[in-house]
Amino acid sequence: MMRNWWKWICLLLLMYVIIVALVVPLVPGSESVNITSLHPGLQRVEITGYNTHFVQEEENLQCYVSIGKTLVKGQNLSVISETQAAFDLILPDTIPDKNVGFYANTDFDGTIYLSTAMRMEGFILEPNTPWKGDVITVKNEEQQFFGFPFQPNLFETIRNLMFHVPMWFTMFFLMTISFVMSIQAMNQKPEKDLKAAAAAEIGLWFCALGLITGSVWARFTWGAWWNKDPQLNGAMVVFIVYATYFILRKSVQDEIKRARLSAVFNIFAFILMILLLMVMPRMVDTSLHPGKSGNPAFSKYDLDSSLRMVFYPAVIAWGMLGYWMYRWQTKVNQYKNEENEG
Amino acid sequence: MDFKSRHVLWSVVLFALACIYSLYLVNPDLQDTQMFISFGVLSALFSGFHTMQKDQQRLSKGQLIYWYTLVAPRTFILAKMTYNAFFVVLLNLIQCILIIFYFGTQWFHPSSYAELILAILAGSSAMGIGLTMASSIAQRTQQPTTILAILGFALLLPTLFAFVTILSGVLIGHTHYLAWPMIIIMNIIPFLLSSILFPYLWRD
Repeated sequence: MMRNWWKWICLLLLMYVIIVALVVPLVPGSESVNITSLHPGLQRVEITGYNTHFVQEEENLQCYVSIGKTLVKGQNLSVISETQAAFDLILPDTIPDKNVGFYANTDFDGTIYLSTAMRMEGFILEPNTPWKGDVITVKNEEQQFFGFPFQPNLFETIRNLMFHVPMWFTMFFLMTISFVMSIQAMNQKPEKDLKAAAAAEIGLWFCALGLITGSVWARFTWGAWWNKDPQLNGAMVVFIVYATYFILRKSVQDEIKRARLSAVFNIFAFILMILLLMVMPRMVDTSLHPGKSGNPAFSKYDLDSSLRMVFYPAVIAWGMLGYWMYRWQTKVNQYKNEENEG
Repeated sequence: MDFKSRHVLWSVVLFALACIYSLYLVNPDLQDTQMFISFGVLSALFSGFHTMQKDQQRLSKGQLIYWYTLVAPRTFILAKMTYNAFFVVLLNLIQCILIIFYFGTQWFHPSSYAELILAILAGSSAMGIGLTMASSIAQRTQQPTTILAILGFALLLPTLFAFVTILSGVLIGHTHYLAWPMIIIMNIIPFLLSSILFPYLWRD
């Protein structure tokens, strides 16, 4: 029991990460606004919220529209459902800015702010949709409950941060173990080769899981399972190279020879992986992937304590799980090896 | 692969000629630059593999042991890499000339000839060096030919990406500054790694 304390910690952390990552709701936000024009100058604006509590907070709800520096308050506010409300908007005589922002304020949900919710096309107000128009930035301040940030385009897929990213970290961790073991196997210690193979095998599983979670995520945010992207191509090449490593191992019978050959290949594969996944995508300016070519990633979320509370334990938990599986696989490899010899 | 077995040498050149001539037979009016780039790289890859496989079949175990008594394994592998790099470069230049001979030069408007030739040199030598490394690993296994195809493909993928990017940069005009460092790295790494690692590998 005491010897395996870290396994219990790993299990507890994993349970915490999976439950929290899947159960915690997103903070209230708003996806889009819709406009029906009554007559020039007077518009009816419908807002569609997400996880909002408009019925509950009907008395406190206030809607504003910002044009340049002037704020215009919505009139005749009517709440349709928890996530839908509508108000009349009387535009001012002078319109200083083309971009029209939107605020909705309640005590419970805080302030929802869409910086470019609408735009002026001539004298007509047009809604911006997140998919076609400019990217709408949503800020939510002073909300009353714990939740993950609401990001347009990401929505609920922000939870993937707790699965996809730590899986790649774990893969890097395991491949580094495999690399070190391979170097030791070259230096007159062929028995370390089994450890290198075990680490690479578990690492390959995490690589596959990372590819799958990333692909599913990409389907819902970019609209395609796969994209021509340096990060994605690099990941695929790394997967192929490490898969080749196992084909190479299977094709050599002699143990010492296999140790040397696969160690040589593994060292090369590790250097390729560093080049393809760490160096190349960072230098390219056409990547869609978060964290690359100026896309938002951790630096932005670092400000958000709710994500950090789950993300850091997730990294530790998946890493520990990978290490646990690696030790297990090492034992399996050793038993198989003894069986072959005996 | 050396000049003692000249029929093997000519078989590889014939392979390249047959590749390009069959493309010409299929579509004599082809003028698509992108198509030529992908086809050229592909046929370079196949003739590279072809060379390596012929090389493997030719060198028996006795011959290898004879070589190792003459020179150190490190010298042997480095010499072999250099030789294969030169050979693949020569092969690819022949292929370029053949493509221009059959299809004319209407599609051929490189932004700079120096860069094009440098690209062919760097890309082909990276191919030759990478394939030599894959081949010398594969030679120690039970099915060298199959393993060479699998290993070589995996090891050459980054090189191919970079090579195609540079070629389309020169010929079509979407130059990417990253491809050059990548292809130079892919030249250097197998060279360095095999000079460090191969003394371990040949110890039996």
